[in-house]
Amino acid sequence: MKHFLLVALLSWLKLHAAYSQPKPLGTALPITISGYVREAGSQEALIGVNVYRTGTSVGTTTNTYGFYSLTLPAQDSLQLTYSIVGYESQQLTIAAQKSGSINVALMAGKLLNEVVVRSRADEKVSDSPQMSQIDLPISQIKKIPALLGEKDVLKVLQLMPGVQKGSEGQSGLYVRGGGPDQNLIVLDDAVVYNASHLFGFFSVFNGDALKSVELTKGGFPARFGGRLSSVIDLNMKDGNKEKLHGEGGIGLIASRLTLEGPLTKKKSGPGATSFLLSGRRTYLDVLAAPLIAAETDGKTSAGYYFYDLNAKVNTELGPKDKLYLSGYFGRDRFFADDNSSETQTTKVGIGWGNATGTLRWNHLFSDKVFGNASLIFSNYDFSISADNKDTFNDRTTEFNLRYTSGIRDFGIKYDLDIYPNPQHSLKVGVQATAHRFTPSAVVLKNTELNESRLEVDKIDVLESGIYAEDTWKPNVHWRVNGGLRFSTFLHDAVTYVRPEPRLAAAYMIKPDLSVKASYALMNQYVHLLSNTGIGLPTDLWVPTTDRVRPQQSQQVALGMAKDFTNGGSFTNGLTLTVEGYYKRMDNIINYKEGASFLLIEDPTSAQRVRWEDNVTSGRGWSYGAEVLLQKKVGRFSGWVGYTLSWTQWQFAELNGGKPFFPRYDRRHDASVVGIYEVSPRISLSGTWVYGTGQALTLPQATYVAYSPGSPAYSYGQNGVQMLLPYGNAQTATEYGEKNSFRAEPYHRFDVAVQFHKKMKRHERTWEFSAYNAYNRRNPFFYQLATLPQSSTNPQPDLPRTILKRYSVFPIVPSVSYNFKF
Amino acid sequence: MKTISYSTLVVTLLTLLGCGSLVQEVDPGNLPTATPKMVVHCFISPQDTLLAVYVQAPRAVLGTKFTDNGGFYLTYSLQGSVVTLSDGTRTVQLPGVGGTIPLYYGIDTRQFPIVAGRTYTLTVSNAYFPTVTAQCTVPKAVKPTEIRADSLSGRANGLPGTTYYGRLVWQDAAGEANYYQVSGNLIKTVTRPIYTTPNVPTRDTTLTNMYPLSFNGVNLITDQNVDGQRLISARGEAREFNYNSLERTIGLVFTMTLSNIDENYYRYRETVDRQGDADENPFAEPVLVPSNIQGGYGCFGAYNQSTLTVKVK
Repeated sequence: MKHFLLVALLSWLKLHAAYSQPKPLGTALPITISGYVREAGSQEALIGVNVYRTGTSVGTTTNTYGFYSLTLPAQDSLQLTYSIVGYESQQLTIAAQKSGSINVALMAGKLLNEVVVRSRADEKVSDSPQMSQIDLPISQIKKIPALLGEKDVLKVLQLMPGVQKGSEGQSGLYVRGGGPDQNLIVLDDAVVYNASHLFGFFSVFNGDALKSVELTKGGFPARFGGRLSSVIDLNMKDGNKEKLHGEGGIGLIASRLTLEGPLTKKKSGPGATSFLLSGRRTYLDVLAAPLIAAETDGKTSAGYYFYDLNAKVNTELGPKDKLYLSGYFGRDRFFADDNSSETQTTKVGIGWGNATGTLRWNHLFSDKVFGNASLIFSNYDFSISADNKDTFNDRTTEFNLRYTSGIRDFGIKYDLDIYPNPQHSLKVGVQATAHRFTPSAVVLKNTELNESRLEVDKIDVLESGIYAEDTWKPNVHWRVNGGLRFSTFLHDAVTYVRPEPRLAAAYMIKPDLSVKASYALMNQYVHLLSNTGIGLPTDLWVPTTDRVRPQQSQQVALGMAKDFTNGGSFTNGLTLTVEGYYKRMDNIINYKEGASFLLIEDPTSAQRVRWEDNVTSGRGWSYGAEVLLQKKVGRFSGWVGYTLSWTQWQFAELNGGKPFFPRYDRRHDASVVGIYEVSPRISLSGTWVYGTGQALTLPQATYVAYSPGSPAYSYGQNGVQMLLPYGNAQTATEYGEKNSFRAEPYHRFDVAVQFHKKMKRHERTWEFSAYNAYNRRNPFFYQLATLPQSSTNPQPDLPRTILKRYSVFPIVPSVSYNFKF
Repeated sequence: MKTISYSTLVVTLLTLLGCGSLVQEVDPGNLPTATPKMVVHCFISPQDTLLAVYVQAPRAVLGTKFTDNGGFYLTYSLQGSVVTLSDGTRTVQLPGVGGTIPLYYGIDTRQFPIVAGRTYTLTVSNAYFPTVTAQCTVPKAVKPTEIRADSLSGRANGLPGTTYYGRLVWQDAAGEANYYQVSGNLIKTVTRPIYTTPNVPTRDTTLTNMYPLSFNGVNLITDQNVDGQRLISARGEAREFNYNSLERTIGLVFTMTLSNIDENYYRYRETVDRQGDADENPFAEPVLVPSNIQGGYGCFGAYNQSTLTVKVK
């Protein structure tokens, strides 16, 4: 299959190259200029740098490892421009009679520096076939105000059109009507299954360790697959090759420290090795421990913490080979140890976390062919342990419960980037992942019942994909990315092989204005069972089986991209993108009404329930329009985003089979983000967000439900005792239609001010910020409450029932100290 | 100087700590409004001797909307309701039973027999709520073919005893959607010496104990995905503790009843049960209870029973 695909693609490529070669280029012998673009100083590889022949649109961009290859006709001299946001662009004039390698180092831009403003002049959204994609500069993320000062990559993505937040303070992403389970979150090629800390209030990504963040919400290239709604591709920094560098911060709830530097004296060339080590930990448990101990005479301890650890080492094996080893380890832990009773001791622990590891080997086959092999490991596990010891009359009863659930992956991936000529840039690759799911494993021991049970239910499946895609620039007007992915899924009872065609095209009406269109078909073979919308660790990953089919989506998007130029030069960096989309989702899954993870496996019940019994599948559709006006350069930068959208679901077993709005259907979603560099020492930032309220199901009435059987005697009004025909009385609740209640709209304003100062050996930043600055009481959830009878409630047996709105965050001020050296 | 002015701004923001509660009552004007509806329960069966209809008011939930109709007694039926039942050819009105405010509306089935295969229409009207109607068809009886009984003796919760298990087996009719409910009892006859009068010797007395079988909540069954097959019920169990060493079992009988129930009854009972199970679980999706009472809440259901008895001892 792989061979067939490659042959087919290469033939197609050859054919097109023959016909599409522009005439002036066709006359001279072609030469290839290739190399790496890195950051000056740290030697960090730069991703997505535009490399092109100055004054033309003939060019390419660097790949994930900073590599580029550009094939041009030989000539006496050639001027090349290297540019990317946040760096000073470089123009090189080179003698171009023969192929050669040119490595370039770009200087990180200094704010308010005119050179920087010029350097960004070539980053144009209108010049790429890719649509529905967002790149976030990490430096910008660090300036945007955040809850308790904890900068969060995923929460900044929530400020983009088409991407919505869930409940207040949550880091889950809802992309174009899809749920958080439909996002593929990849850190250095490894899937991160649960990106939440502290029940979703913080994401697991530590910005200090990250180099780049890219979100794709539509028009997916063929190299991406496995989820319906988005791909969030995060890359860790490689580690400074020049000198030891550190940065860190002390905040109200957590502190962090990152160190990076060379491991060898050799700064570049074969043998040069560098590392990155970054950690973050909360300290609420440490602060609370003495208080709890004092309250309970030291007999009880309890606490909660989370930590993250990122590590990466990279080494150059030779001019053509590089090796990268990176890993992420993060864990949340809640614990309680109660010895306060003389006869009883109780120990409870809940823990969850991700571990990922990636070993990557880059090999340059030629100046036109770049290869990368990755070995990938990822693991997520959730565990509960409860131990109880009860001593009564010298008899000791022990109760031990262990519950674990999780997913573990071993994966292998090979990708080739091929740059035959400036018109084509080809990517082909193959990937296979062996997943092991542990939906639930329970060990229950009880000395009294003399019973011990071990129930492990592991499922092994193999998911794989093979793809080929080409970015084709036939002439100055057209930019096309076409590709095909074959995804396969092997389970004991069922096998799926599915083709996934992808196409994206841009037509440049003018040099700064293009219209774009895309189509993508996506399959998802792993599913997340989650019914709260909150990032709970109990959210359970489960595979496609013979009873649960793969989820599938088809999305079409149309849009325009406009770069506002000033007298022909793109100096103000203002861009406007407008996109409309329609997405159809099939076989999406949801818990059945009344089911939840708590019922997945009830260790005390004699009945054994398969998780499939608790889920139901249906379809959904979402459509909408998104507008993004973004200013990336200058003293004042930021964006305004607006989304108008509709999302509906239809499940045979939910809402009586009628379509309904899922909880996160959001008609209007707007965000305004502004960063103002007041002076080199002070920066001010603010964000304002608005979103239509969530669609919720609220009780409308309760009544007593009966059925035949269990008859009981009752006295009639006539004083005669009679046998009532129906019993089993139970209070039933009437909800009306599912999600027919709209919560109040959500809006919030955050503000932050940063004071930067260069000290003798380091640079420090004080940040003061306020989350929810105007103290809006945004709804987190609603609950019914019954008021006792009162003067306003004259009914004797009918107390007044009201609806209460619970909010979580009032205005939250915070202060943090950050440093780097 | 600039630094100071910005610091002042930040401090001002931080002092703007509005100290309101994080829990607030939602303005009743923003709440969804629902039309008040009557709650009607009626279950008919060819085996029953009584036709009974409960006509009740719902409890209030949001605001005072449902309470404006007067203080109803929630355990009684609504006064002055006109309740009629029709089988398509004959219509009968059910009078109130138990006083002016009746416990229920009902008549003896000898006056209006319930026949399998027939469709019945129930209509209820009164001064408080809009009139409601409902229809259901009485399913035919399905005879169970066997009872699979078993027992296990041993200690449980520290006490000796025997747990009896029973499963009911029957043949599902192919090509139609069927819904079943299973129930049963273990009837145990024992003799044991009983002291009746002081100074009078003990004498053996025969006692009959009835233990209802528990199906762990799995007593509703559908033939979905198993249409036309031989169906086996979940295991019903009854635990009997042998705490009296003088007791002697002389008879042990399993009686198990298969009710062929109509879809309305099944959907209603199943969702109400599920709602009850999920009640304490804040993470569960709300369970919507369907109702075949047009314009109201509740259920008009039908069932047809067949009982099988096996003598174990």
